[in-house]
Amino acid sequence: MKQLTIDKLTFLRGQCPVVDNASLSVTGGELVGLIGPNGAGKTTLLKSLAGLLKPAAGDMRLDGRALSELSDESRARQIAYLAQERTAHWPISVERIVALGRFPHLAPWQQPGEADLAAIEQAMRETDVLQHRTRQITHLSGGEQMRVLLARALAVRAPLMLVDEPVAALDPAHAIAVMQTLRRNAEAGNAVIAVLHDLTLAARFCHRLALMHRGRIVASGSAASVLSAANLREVYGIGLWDPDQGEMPVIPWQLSTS
Amino acid sequence: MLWQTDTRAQRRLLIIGALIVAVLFLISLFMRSGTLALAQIALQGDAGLRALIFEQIRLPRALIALFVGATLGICGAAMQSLLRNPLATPGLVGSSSGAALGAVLLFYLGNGTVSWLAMPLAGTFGSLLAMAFVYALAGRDSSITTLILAGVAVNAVATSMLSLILNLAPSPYAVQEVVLWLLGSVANKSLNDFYLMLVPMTLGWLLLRGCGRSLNALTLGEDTAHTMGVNINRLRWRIFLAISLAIGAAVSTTGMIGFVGLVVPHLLRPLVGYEPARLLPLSALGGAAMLLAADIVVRLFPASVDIKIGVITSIVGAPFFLWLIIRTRRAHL
Repeated sequence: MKQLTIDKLTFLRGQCPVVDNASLSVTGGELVGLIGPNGAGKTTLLKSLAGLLKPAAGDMRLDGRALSELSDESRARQIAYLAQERTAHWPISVERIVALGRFPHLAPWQQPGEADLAAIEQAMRETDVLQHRTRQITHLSGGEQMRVLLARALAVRAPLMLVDEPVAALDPAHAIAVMQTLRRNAEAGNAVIAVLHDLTLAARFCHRLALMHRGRIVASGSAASVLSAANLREVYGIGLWDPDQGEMPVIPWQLSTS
Repeated sequence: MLWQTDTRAQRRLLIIGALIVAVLFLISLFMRSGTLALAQIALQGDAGLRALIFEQIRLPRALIALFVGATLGICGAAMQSLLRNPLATPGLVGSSSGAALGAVLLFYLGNGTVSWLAMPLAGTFGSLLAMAFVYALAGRDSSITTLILAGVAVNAVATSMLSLILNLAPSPYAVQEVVLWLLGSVANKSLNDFYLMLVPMTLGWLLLRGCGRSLNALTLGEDTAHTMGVNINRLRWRIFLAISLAIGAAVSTTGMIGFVGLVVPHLLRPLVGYEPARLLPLSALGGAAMLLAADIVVRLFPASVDIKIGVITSIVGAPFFLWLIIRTRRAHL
């Protein structure tokens, strides 16, 4: 079972701590939603885990092994990362973008084998982009592009997956479908951390939530405990819907079966 | 499965490309140019001398066109893929102008006494020096914009130094000689020139080997490529070093031949599904074909008109460049 532990992680931008003494542990089989307002340090924390930023202090370990000790190649096989920026600089076909996910597993001159092609195919199916496989990624809508990039990350089949705002540009149906995919991926034994802004989806699909505020992880646990009225007021400055207000909230909940 | 279709298509493209290059190479070898026809008349009947001409004039000419063209093509593809910009040229980090400056400086200081065998060495040295300056200016972890700006600065310095040399040249003949050399030509070279050029060029080619996959990964941005195990800094400087070596050798042998490195990758990119790894080898073939063809065109002119190959590639390349800009602008409207 994979185990990720983050211990007292601090990342400074100038003198200002963007991530401040953050500790969190995630076990294989868990989908953890990292929530918090803009600028709370969620992306910085994720980038530190992905090896893109060097923290000033603290410890990050995967199965007891410090992430900083991993070679670039071995880290690439163990951690799949979906960046917040969704850029594809060349109009490459969807299938070949997703195939980049197998990159860390292949030697420089190795062509993808049966198992690789199966992983690529399955990732495309899970994110519902199989019908676009021959199309150029730049010709797809923003939401479709995002699903292709998620498929690329899924194709790595890494035990730890870090996804930054995977549902940001998606319609409700695809947002729910992506959350289901992430949850399935976690329940297959992997550890998944997703930065989310949609609290309803976060509460519905994540096994656990971690709430960040000004670089600190201020609450962690079940959705009910983390999304308390007090936490929401203090961290986000929002109040929950009150039936007495009369207006109706619209909460997409599941995919329709028909 | 689509993957296999792509692999087959790539193999087919490479075979077709190689065939085109082979045909152009043979045409170049056996084509009568204006000057050579004269020589042949003078030597009619003497098979030994004819073989000598073949070996000493035509073979080096065709070989140099082939290898320099391939180098310009692959280096252009590598630079465009690395910077993820279709308007990038291999000379962007100062390799072309640095090489030209190195070669001309030697030519000028040597006053004709230095063995011209030293030219490729001086050129490669100049090109590496230019890259070192770009490195020093931009710093290790620089952004692409900083790199391009540093390249522009180094290019400007090298070009102004070239102007200064021309300005101070002792005689109009020296000026003419340097200017004509700069225009680019694959004519009047020996097999020794070719062998000498081949050393740094091969080193550059070897460094480019295996970069394609990392360049593919770079399509998704530097952060994502990094999390895929690509060491961005190492990749960047490895490609710059490769380009400096190969372009340095090419420029100091033939002078500056423009637009091949820009146009060829751009033309071929749609054929390989825009994928850098597949573009690199095909651009080498495309560049070789383009330069061999340009050299054939050059020889179609009567012997009294000495048109340089660099002029032909620019005449074709410049309007293309313009069209490229207009098309890119339209795409963004």
